[in-house]
Amino acid sequence: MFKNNLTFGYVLFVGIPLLILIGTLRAGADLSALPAVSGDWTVEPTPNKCAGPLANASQPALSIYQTGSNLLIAFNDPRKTTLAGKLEDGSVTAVSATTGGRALRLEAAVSGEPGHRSLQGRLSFDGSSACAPVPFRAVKSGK
Amino acid sequence: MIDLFKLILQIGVILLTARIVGMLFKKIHQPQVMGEMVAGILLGPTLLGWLAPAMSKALFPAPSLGYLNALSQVGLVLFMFLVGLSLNPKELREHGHAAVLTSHVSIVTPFCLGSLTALFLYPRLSDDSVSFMGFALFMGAAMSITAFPVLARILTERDLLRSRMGTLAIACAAVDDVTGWCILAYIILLIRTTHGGRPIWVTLGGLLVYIFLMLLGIKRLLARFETSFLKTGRITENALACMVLLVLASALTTEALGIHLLFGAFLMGAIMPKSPDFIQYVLHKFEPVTVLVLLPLFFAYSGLRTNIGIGHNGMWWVFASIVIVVAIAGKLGGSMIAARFAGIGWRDAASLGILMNTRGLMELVILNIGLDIGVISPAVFSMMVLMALVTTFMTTPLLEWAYPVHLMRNEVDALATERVA
Repeated sequence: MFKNNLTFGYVLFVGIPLLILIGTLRAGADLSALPAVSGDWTVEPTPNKCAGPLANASQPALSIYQTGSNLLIAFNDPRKTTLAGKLEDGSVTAVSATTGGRALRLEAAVSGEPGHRSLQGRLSFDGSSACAPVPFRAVKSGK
Repeated sequence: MIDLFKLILQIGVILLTARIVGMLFKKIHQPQVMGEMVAGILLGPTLLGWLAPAMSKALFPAPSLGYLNALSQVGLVLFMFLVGLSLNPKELREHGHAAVLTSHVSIVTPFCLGSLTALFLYPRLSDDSVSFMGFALFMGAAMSITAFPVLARILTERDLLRSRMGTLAIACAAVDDVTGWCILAYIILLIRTTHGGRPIWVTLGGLLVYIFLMLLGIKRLLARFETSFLKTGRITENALACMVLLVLASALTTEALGIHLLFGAFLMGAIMPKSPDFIQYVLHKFEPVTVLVLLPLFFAYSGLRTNIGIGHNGMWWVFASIVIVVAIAGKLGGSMIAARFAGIGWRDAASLGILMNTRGLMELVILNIGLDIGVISPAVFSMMVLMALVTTFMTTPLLEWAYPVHLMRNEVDALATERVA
């Protein structure tokens, strides 16, 4: 009796979950995840004073902390400027709270394969007539 | 160049915090190790880094963490050796079908639920540097682990090791431990091979030779330690040093084979002779330095990589809650239902489920491996650490609720009387 119970128990509690596991792994094989942008980034030199924190940041100039689509971007400048942003459809959009009264905005497109990723976009100050948006290019320093 | 002053200061602060928080946790009937884990997290960005970022940066600057990590890894190697040493295959044989079914279900159910959760979490919390299979298998393994040492400590502190449920829990946790580590070894192998490591057949072939040598050669050598101990009642310092060398060699071998150094240390402990006096003697020699000094460094290193709560948005908490609920449902629920199915009463089955749900320290070990090999992100790491803390913290109060100490003591006394009769 117990042996039959045990066999039934194995089928019910071990066999079925194992089948579900196999099904899960198959179903998930088609899932795609967001591009990995987390890590340190080296930005090509931008001496333009309109580049804000990038103008006097030491390399790696950017550190990105990623939780799914949520990003926290930290500049390696003396003021340690940080921006909160999103990663959607392969594009990064981030805004700082304030930087000397003006909000700093970063917009960039993510390209390349994991391990050879790059960011190409521009930095601008919201509502600033004196500064035009500054283009930049960044490459990932490692995972 | 090592900043020795800073390193010693770090060790001092970590040990002091671990002892203080550990003692506070003991006062609220939690295992000391739970307090030590929390102490590590308090020293990280979760509390110290948030309250006093300048002090946190001065005390734990990023370049200095490599030395702390190296010391904590040495501690983990010794700790895994002790975990393997404490395992006793006889415990499983004595409990037969109930233990085997319960332990297998307590692995498979959370593993399956963890992988199912990965379907939801992977597109949201992972990135394309990790495959779905690697992520899902890792989530499953991390959900299905039981903290054998913490569980043993809870049972000892509550004087339950001699109860029927206590011995059954120890037996199930022992099976869980061995199975869990085997699964994790496979996952690491899978991930490292897909990331351009050596071909899988080289690792598998090397692993077979290594296991063969361990079981047929080294195990016989280890038996001599026991024989010598049984004759003289002690182990010489040379023999103890030889034991440490064998543990390190085994750890290095599994690391070189592409699995992880902890597996080698664990296996060395598992194949040690198992006479109780010998085990006690070896534990007595190695445990103080490992548990009192080196493990808190590992907790602190893990804590420095963990950021719970502060700065996270509402979604982080939603994801973390899902992880916690799934982990509890799979482990506690799965073990309880399987135990009930195997003919164990509701009260014992519920207590068994609660005990098996203890993840504690072993979960931290696994999560650190996952973060190191890049299969989980820091955010998922923090969620899983929170899950480990919650599931470990809830064990003692839930156990007291499901099976109060006075009832268990009555049962232990009744069992003792039965044996005498």
